[in-house]
Amino acid sequence: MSTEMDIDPPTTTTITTTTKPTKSSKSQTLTQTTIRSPVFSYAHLSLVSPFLSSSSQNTPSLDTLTARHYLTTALRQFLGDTGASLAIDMLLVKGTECWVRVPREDLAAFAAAVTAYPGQNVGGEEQMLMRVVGCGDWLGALVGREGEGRVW
Amino acid sequence: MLSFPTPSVYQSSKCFVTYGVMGHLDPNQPPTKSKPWSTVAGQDFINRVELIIPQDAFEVVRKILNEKAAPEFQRVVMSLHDVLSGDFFTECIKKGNVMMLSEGRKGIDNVFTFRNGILTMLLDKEAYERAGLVGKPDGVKGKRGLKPRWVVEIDLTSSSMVPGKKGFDRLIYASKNAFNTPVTWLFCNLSSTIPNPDPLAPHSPTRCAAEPSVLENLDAMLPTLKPPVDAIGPEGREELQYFSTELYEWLSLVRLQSPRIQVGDQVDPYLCRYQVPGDGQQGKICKLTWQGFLAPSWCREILLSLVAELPSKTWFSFSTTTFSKGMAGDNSEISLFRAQGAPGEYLMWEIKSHE
Repeated sequence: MSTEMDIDPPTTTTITTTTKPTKSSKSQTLTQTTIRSPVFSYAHLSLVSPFLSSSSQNTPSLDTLTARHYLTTALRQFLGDTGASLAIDMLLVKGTECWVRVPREDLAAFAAAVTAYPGQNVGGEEQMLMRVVGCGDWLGALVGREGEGRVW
Repeated sequence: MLSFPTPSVYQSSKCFVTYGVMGHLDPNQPPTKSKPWSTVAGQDFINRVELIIPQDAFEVVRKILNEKAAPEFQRVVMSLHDVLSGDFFTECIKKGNVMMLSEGRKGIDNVFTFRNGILTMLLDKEAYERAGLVGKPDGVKGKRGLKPRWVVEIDLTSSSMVPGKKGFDRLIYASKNAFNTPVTWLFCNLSSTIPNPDPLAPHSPTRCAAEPSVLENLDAMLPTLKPPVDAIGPEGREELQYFSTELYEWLSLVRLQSPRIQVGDQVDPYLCRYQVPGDGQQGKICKLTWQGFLAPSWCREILLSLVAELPSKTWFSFSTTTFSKGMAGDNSEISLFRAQGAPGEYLMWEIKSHE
């Protein structure tokens, strides 16, 4: 995509040195690096029900254990024991949404399992489904996307 | 693990990390061309800004914010033809300094942006052909299953872009025949003056001011707030990657308001094995969030004030997130962290999505 531009070469230098930065009036770049394959990926999930009425009285609010249970069920259904033992870290459960962390190499399988999950019966009639709202390698960028629609 | 196709909502991105030192700030000549200032100001349309500070820095931040008006933007319904005609065109587009973004999902709907004098039109094949303008293919070639899209870019500040000149008349023709439906725009005036009478007024805009939402006195487990000494130098690359990834994750968890970074969180390891990196320090922190249609120049101004007025040993983190760019809602982000007790030292994460 875009490349980094050093617009003002005399005051921005790339130094790879082992000396501590000294007090200077100029901006300096000490070192740079690109991270392409971080250890973890993150997913933002939402619990939805196609049959839910707008009064939402029947929307369960999730707690961490219940959310984890739904995920384990979905993964086991889709991937058997391998799926059920996938490492998931519950970062936040709020209302009908949850945010999780998984090892990066497992994200695709995780998302596929969540999407394929035919649903969970809650209290009889309703089918609760989990939907991947977004996922990626950088949690902050995922968080930063939240609420963009509200501006419009 | 068995291989699965990448999820369609996966935001594939790489992160470019800079570890640097900010130079001395001359209040009469604020830096614009060097990092990190140029990076922050170089973004396009900012949707969200988040500032994390130690609680005891809040008073200084409150003072900084009280001295400036909250950033303003407007929401207005206009057709592209409206943008290109009359007083609006003369005062705002030709003479003024404004930025605009039309509603729509890039990659699906037809979207227009106006920034730095350039009108950019992101169009599907039908709209492009109907418009009859000259453009370039947009997006990665050969993306399976996606129809080709086109991008048209026109410098409206050019002297050839006036009524009577062929290029401009062709654009007007296109706006009347292919794009005559009014759409919702976000509009931000980047200059300090508003023409009188306001050319936007006849279109009944909704004025919005982005006031920050503030979360104070969060009892947090703090990570190590300063990069390790051996992060510099070629052997330090791994050290830097490790440290910066962990710190970025902690800052993201604060932004998410995750209980995992809060003092007293006793989650069962079965549910979460996240551990705050560092030596178990605790502290009260504060988070401010702005959301709206924000100018990168405003972001840079705020950042300059923070660096100039917060005590030099105080750490803080400042992140700016752009509006989504593509079908997967890809957005880009710049986060900056000023280290504790190491005057001028900062880490910056630039996250750009692969197109």
